[in-house]
Amino acid sequence: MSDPVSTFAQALPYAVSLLAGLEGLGRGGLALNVSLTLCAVPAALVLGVVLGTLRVMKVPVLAGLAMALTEFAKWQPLLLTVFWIHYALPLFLGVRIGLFATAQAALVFYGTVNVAEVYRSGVLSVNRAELEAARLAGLSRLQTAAAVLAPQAMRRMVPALLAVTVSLFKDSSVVFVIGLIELTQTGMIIASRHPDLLPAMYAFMGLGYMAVSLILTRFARSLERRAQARLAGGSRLSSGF
Amino acid sequence: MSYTPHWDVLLEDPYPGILLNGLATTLELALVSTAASLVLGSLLAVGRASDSRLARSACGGFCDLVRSLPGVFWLLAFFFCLPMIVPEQAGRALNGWDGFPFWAAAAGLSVNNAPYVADLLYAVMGQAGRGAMASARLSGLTGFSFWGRVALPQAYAASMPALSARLLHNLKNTSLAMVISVPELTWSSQEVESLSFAGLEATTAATCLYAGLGFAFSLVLMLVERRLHRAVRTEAARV
Repeated sequence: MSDPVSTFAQALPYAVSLLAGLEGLGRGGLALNVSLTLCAVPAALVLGVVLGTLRVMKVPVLAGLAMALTEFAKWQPLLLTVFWIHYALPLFLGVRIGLFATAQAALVFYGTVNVAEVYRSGVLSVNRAELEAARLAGLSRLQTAAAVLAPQAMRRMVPALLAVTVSLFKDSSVVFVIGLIELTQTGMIIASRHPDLLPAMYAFMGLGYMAVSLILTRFARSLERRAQARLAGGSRLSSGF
Repeated sequence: MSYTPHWDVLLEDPYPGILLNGLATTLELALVSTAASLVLGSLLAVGRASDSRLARSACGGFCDLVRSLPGVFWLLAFFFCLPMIVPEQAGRALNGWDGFPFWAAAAGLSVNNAPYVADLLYAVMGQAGRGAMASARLSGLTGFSFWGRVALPQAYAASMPALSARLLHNLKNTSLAMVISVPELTWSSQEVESLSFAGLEATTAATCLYAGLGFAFSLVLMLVERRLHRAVRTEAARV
């Protein structure tokens, strides 16, 4: 093996491809992972809250359906979900959605189920007595939900939701099985063209994933700290009554 | 537009064999990586709870590093990268070894799962077991008998529901092994697809098999949980 320093120097020009995708293949590389995640997270948040609400409110039939979806996601590997959507959508709906949309659908499905679970445990963690007290004090159901339930539940959910985001970002690396050229696949293609750069490519790939994961984790920690500080301030306030 | 799946394709000759073979490989891979990640995760948790500052930061840093990378990365790294960075002869031997894809996948899955196991164990060591651990220390237990007989069994028992969920997640992660062409269940379903063009049917069959496997796995874990709680109680009574 040649000396590592010169290998890395040789591999450096390919870093652009790893970040933004190979020339002539459209969007790819780390940018594809990030854009898959950025598109999937808002959709998963909205759908997850809907799904979680159905279960928390025990809406007949729909709650059961939501539970079935959750169980399904718990048993099925993401990879298989990607394949399943890849085959099922064209057959049943007659639509050919692109590869990006297929990957997107699988990630949104996974994210939705996870967000719903986080939301559910966040809502259930709020003290029942406080809710009853608010109702007895004359607040309507909606007011109780908005003023008492939501602020507490949301604060508790923030770290877990960011963890879901990090894991969605990491999960976006499996979409290359249906032919999307994201970071991993870009690195592997470059490595297959230049076998001696392979270790350097893996090091760059690792750095790319790590950078995004670390930024998200840092963000999560700072939010968590801020939420705790606010919670402490809140309790001081309420003990004054 | 409607489509009528033709399930009977799955019963034609080579296909049931391929799928069942895949199921067996998935099971093997799950068992090996579960065992290895429990061992590695326990070591990391012990390292993070230890008195040595070096061990604490090394184990903590390793956990952070692994958690920031996707599972696929580890499988590919063991399979493609390892033969390149070891001495040339060893690399050639690895590439020529028939069992290499399986063991590379097992190693990748274990490394990927271990930090999560360590996190769960470390978290309960910190909160629930403090008092019991301190009294075990005071009564003279040290080293292996302390960790092996008191601290770790307690940590397994206390972290069990979450640990089961993580091990189930690891079972699902075995599907990643298809990217280095280990013939596990997901790979097998795509093999059936490429031979029969019945992609939906094959993928659905694999889903059902995963569900069955996951169900069996969680039943076993539930039994283990019950045994662990009983064992911890008897050990506590003895100590």
